[in-house]
Amino acid sequence: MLEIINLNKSYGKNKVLTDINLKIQENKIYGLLGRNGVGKTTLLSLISNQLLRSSGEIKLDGEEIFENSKAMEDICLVKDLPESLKERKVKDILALAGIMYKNWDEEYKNYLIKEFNLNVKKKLMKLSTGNKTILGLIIGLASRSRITIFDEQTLGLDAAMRYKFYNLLLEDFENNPRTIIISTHLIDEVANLFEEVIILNDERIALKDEVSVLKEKSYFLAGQEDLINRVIKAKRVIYKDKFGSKSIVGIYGDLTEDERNYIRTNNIEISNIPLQKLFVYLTENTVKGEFSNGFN
Amino acid sequence: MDSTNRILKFHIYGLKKTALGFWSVMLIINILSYVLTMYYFPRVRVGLFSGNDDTISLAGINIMPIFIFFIVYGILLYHEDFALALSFGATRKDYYKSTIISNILVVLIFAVIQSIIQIVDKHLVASLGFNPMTEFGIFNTSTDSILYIILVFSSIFLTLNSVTNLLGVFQYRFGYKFWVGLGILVLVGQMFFGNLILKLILGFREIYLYLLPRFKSSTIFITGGFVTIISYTLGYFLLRKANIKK
Repeated sequence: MLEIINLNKSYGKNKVLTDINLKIQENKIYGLLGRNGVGKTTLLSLISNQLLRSSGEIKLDGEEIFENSKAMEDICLVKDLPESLKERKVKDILALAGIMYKNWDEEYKNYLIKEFNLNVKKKLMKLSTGNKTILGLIIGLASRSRITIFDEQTLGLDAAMRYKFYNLLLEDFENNPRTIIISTHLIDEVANLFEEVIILNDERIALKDEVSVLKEKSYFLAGQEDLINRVIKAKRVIYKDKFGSKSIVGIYGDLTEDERNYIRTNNIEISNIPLQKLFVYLTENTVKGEFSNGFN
Repeated sequence: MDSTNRILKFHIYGLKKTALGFWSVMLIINILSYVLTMYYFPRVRVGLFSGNDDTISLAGINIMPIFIFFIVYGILLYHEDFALALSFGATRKDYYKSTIISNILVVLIFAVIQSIIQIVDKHLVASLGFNPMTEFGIFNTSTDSILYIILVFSSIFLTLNSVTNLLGVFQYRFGYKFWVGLGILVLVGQMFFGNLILKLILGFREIYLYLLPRFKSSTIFITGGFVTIISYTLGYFLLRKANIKK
C-alpha cells in the first residue's frame, strides 16, 4: 500500500538516507527504530511530504504522494509542533486539526482530552513537555488517518501516561484498524505493540521483519566457550562477552533441530534476546571491537 | 469537503478573530476621532487634512493601519499557518491556492468596510461643521458610486496583499537571511546612491504625484493586476520547494 522506492535524502553534502526501499502494509503496527541522528524523523517527514526528497519515489496505492492532496489526506505525522505556534491556544490547534483531517473524530478527541486531563485553554508555550506530547497524541489518535505516524511521541510522559497511551492506541486500533508507525527509543515498552520492526542504520534499512520472526531468530547462548563455538561457527554473531570460563554469545539466525539438540545435551543455556538489546546489538558498529555484526 | 476547501476553512478560522479584532479597534478609534474632533478641534487634529481646500477625512487614517494589517497578515500566513497546515497534511499547492482565495476574501471584506466608512465619514464630517474630503485622486466619494470605490480599494488592497504575501514567503524560505540580505542591499544602495530609502520614498512620492492627475481606473487596475500576478506567481515558485520548519 505505501511503497518507498530508492529514496535518498541529503542535507547539502551530508547524506542522511540512501536507497531506502520499503513496503508498508495496511492495518499493521510498525516500529521504526534507529540510533539518534540516523534519519528516522527525516524518513517520516518525507513520507508525510513535510520535507523534499533528493531522489526516489513514495507511492500510496500506486500513486506518487508528492503534492498529491488525495494521498496526503490519508497520512498524519505526529511530531513536535512548529515553534512558531507557541502563542496559539491548545483548543485552537485542535480545532484546526479537526478542520484539516477528513476522518477527524471530534467525540473521540473530547474523550481523550478528559482521559489525559489536558487543559485546552492554555497556550502551547505554557504546556509542559509531557502535555505537548499529549496534544500530539490526541491529534494522532483523533485524526483516524489511514496511516498514522508517531515520531518519538513519549517524550516527557511519565510511565503511567505512556501505558495509558499504549492501551488507548491498541484499543483504538482494534476498533478502527489502520497503519501505525511508531518511532521510539523505549523499545521494550512498546515491543508488544509492534507487528513489524524496521531498523534504520548507517543511512539504510538495516532490517525489516516481523517481531515474532525476529524473536525466533535471535538468541543468547551461555555456556562453555568451546562448546558454544561449535554452534556459532556459521551464525551471525551480534554480541559476545565472557565471564571467567563462561561465554555469553548473541546470535541472529535460525537454529536447526540438530543444533537445538546439541545445545540441550551440552547444557548451554538458551534464551531470546529482548527487542531493545537486539536493536542495540544490530546497530552497534562492532561486537566488542572484534568484528562487524553484518548489519552495518 | 475537498482539501482546498478544508484549508480555506483553516484560514478563515484564524482570520475571523483577527479581522473582527482589527475592525473593532478601528471603529473605536474612528468614533473617538469624531468625538475628539467635535469637542477639541483645532487643539486636537485627527485624520487627513488637505491644506489646499481645508477639507478633512477622519476615516482616511484607517488606510495606514490597514496597510500594516496586511503586512503582518502576509507574514503570519507563512510563519505560523503554513507550517501548521503542512504538519496537518496540506500540500503546498493547495495551501497556496486557498491562501489566494482567502486573500481575495479579506481584501473584499476590508474594501467593503472601508468604502462604507469612507462614505459615512463624508456625512459625519459635514454634520460636525467641517468641509469633508471627497477627492482622493483615484476616487471621489461624492461623484463615484460605492461599487466603484469598493473596486478601487479592492484593487489597491489586493496588490498590497500580493506583495506582503511574497514578503511572507521570502521570510519563511530564507528567515533572518532575507532581512540580512535586505539590510545589505540598503547599505550597499546607500553607499552608491546616498540615502537610498529616503530617495525611494521620495521617488514613489514623485511618481505618485506625477501619475495622480493622469490616473484612470484602467491604469490602476492594469498596474495592480500586473503586480498581483507577478507577486503571486513568484511566491508560488518559492513556496513549492519549501520544507517545514521547526
